[in-house]
Amino acid sequence: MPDLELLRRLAPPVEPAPRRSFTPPRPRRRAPLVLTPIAAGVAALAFAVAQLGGGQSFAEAAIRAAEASPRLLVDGWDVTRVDEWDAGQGEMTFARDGRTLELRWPAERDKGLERVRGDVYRYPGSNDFTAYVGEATVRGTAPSADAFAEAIKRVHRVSAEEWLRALPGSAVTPRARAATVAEMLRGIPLPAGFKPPAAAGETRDRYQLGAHVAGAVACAWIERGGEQAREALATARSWPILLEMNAEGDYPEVLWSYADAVAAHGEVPGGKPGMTVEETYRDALGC
Amino acid sequence: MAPTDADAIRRSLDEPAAFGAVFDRHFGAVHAFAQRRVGVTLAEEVAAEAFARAFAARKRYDLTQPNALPWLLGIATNLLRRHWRTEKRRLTAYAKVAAQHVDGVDAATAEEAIAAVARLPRRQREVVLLHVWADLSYEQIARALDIPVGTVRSRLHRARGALGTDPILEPSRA
Repeated sequence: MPDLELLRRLAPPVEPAPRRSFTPPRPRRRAPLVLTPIAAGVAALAFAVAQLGGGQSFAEAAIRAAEASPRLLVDGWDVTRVDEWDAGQGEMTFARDGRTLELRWPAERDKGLERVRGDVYRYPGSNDFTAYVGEATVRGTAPSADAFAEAIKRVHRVSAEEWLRALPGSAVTPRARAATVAEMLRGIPLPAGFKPPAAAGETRDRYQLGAHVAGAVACAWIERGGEQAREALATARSWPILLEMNAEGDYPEVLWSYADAVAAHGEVPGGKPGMTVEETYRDALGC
Repeated sequence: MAPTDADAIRRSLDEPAAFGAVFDRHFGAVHAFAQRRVGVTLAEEVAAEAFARAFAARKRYDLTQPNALPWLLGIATNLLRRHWRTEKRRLTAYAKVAAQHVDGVDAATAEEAIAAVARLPRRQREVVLLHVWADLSYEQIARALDIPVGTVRSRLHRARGALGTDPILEPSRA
């Protein structure tokens, strides 16, 4: 049976850290923002449009963002998930006949793989295969190396428009972002002047976008403080987007633990001496 | 006596570049921990962002604590939560090859051990991995995660139960 000492011995080997030096960031100046409080949904849409830049169309912004992605599809396979959490970084999942392929960019090279053929590798003794296709890594389980290689042959680059059309319903493209964010904010009390997180132009997985949006609201209330903030955060366990996300991951639980802590007047759950919600929430909630 | 991390952080409040001493001392350890969990490519991003956040939050650092590594690993642990899918994939894949890196452990035992970690609830998994893959003591884990030491002990206790071990608490390491 596994024990902690065994796990210690089984720690994955690591490569030496790259040589880096620390440079303090320059202080940034922010212009003060003044917003007239208006209905939150309208504010969210207006802000999202402003972030995409005045007269630009959503379609233009979506295509420009898609052009920054590898834009790979797999012939005959359906895209079931896509998430680009930053410029030039993302992942996609494809499915066909009960099998899945996962594609990630930029490519990441794992240790411990054995080369099977060409650019196809395998974890020894398994049917888990990996291939490097351009700037992306493709991983999947297949009955044989031949079957995996056959799937890899189907990976191809497409135009931005074709890539966007192939995306699943869970993908939130820049075109859909404003409306999706407004929908995620429904049923959530918002502080006056609240601004939803700015669109960065990438396509996001709905769960990840939900974490970004709900986290921004929670952080805004924590920063506002006071009885109104406590009352607002006390409703967090009924926020529809968190209830939806809770079936998929842990983020709602993290946010709820902070809502509980705020209800307990600022003490971190368990009450580590000297540390408060205010000092830890940004890291925990991803503000 | 060599300056501590707390000394460097205190100095950095007036001379920001002084934070470099903390970076030089601990970047490797933070990078290694992140690498074990999410791979070498993401490790650099996570480690860099952990230090950026640490620098931004250094005014709130508890200067009575000479060693900043638990604090830094706590920030990295928070950042790693957004990469759970990647981590789970890596744990699942690593389970199949883990025995290659250790003498005297058969493949099935190694695979089940790593797979058991992947199945743990997040709160228990974080405590376990800080203990076994970052070598933090219970007190250091408590500082890293901003939880009481008792909570660390109870999560490790429950994790041991989930991992199938005898739930006897280890003596705390200073």
